[in-house]
Amino acid sequence: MGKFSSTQNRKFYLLLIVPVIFNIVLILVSMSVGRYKVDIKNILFLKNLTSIDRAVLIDVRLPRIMAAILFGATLSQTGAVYQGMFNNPLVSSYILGVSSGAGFGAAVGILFSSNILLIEGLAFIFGIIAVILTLTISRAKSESISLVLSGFVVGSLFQSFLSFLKYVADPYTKLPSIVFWLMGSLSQITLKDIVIIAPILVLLLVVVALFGWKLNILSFGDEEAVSLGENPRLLKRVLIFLTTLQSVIVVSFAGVIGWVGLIIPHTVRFLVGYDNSKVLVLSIFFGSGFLLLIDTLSRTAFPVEIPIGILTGIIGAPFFFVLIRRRHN
Amino acid sequence: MIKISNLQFGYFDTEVLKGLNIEVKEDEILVLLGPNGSGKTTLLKILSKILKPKFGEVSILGKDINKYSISELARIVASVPQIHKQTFPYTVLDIVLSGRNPQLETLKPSKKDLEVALKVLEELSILHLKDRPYTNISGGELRLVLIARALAQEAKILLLDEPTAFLDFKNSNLILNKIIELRDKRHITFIITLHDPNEALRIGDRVALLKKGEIVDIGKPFEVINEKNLRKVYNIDVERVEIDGKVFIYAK
Ligand SMILES: Nc1ncnc2c1ncn2[C@@H]1O[C@H](COP(=O)(O)OP(=O)(O)OP(=O)(O)O)[C@@H](O)[C@H]1O
Ligand SMILES: [Mg+2]
Repeated sequence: MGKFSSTQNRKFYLLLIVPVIFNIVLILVSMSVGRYKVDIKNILFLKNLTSIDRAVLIDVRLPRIMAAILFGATLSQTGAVYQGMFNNPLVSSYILGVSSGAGFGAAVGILFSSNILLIEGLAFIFGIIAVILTLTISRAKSESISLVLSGFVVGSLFQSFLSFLKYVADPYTKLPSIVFWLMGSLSQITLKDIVIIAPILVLLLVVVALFGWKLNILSFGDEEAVSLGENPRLLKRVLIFLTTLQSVIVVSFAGVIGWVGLIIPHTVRFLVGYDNSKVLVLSIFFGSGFLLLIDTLSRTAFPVEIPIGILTGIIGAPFFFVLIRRRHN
Repeated sequence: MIKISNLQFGYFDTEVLKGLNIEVKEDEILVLLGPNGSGKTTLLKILSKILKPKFGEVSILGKDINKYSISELARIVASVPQIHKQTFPYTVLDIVLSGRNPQLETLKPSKKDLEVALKVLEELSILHLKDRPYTNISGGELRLVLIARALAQEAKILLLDEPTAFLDFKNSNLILNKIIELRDKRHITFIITLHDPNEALRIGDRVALLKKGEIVDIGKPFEVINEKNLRKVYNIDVERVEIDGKVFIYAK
């Protein structure tokens, strides 16, 4: 019995340490590579850094790397939460309509201004509005339409609004910006942004991870949750509040980055099993490494920068396919 | 232990329970017997606060069920559902451990909770399954795992909804014997729905015969399960035989 828990735990800690080491190495590599190269040894020992080196490292690369880490962690964790909550392994972080709402908000901002703060602010507000709308619809009248279905309806609604804005947008100046925003990018994140959002996102990651075991209870469905002594409506409300904050922050700063919230939780479950108290923790470390890798590739592997949302799709879709195949064998 | 008086319930506009009066005593095995759709599952769901009574009263240990919080009630009443949908392949141990939920002091089970779960698995002789994904075990084993989860709640009252459905001859007997054993050893009060009158005769201390949300008869199994009552409820003719002082029943 003691042996059981210790071998289980050893596996968990191993799966924790490996991505942490991977992430540290990747951070150093990512700091060094790019159009402007900085010697990795100089970064490691903080020696011989010119003022240009420092400017590139601190003002350009550091915020971007931190954003990739935080956003990758957050998207993976929220994906895992929704999959558990809705008893459905195929839902993503955007299931409640947050990305469509935020996309619409950002498009409104882009159409009427080029102030980045306004664009981010509108994305944030409309992302939240979309989720509130989803929650309201699903509770309409005595009939309770499921949250997943309502999220789909609200998402489609905002997609249509967004299509309309794209249709009327100036095709030479505004439309490209909207399209680029929707494909997701970490290139506009500044150190100031990071200073504000990093503590919030870290706090949210920790708090949500604490609910991992409770998520197991929720995944049995409402009726069984009640007979196991849990108030499923209350717990869902708490978790939806936290994860909506998480995903809306990510979307309003980075646009729509798909697939991360799907493939990382699945990979983690494949490695450690299905207990969400482990999945929600490991998703943080695997997700951050994954998105940092993708973002580093997106700005170094090709002559021009490829939007990160495109790369996650190109890598994510086949990867997911392989993962599902392996699980069925 | 449990007192149900004039309990009425309906989904939307259809009346399902039409004024039930039942009292369940401590250490008793009460069997609910009745045709499909007679309201057995609905009654059990009310007793575990999944559904709310429309009218009438339910009191458990002398306290109105509406006055219990969900977790407070789950420390007294545990249940095994008629249908359990498996989505994620949790391990058997994870499933049984989830029964500790109402007893938790933090957001996660402790070492002590793990010990309780392992003890229950051992008690039901399924400890060897603990690391298996619970989606890869047999139907009988799954039923035992779900019973183990309910036992891990350490509740005084256990509600079992068709615990022998889908089980083969050996496994259904295994479960019935376990129920009797648990009642004798742990002094658990059971409310069990069954479809086979012979099973009801075998394990019930009392039987409540239901039809369309009403109690046709309630009392000692061999008194309730008779030709007249079964014709009234199922509309079929049955014959009773007695062998070695035990009553058996079969359809003609
Ligand atoms: N969620 C629901 N919504 C509407 N009606 C329902 C619902 N669940 C059950 N009913 C109806 O309530 C009545 C009682 O159902 P219940 O499940 O309690 O019967 P039961 O005695 O458990 O039947 P079975 O032996 O088939 O399990 C049935 O007529 C059924 O159609
Ligand atoms: Mg039933």
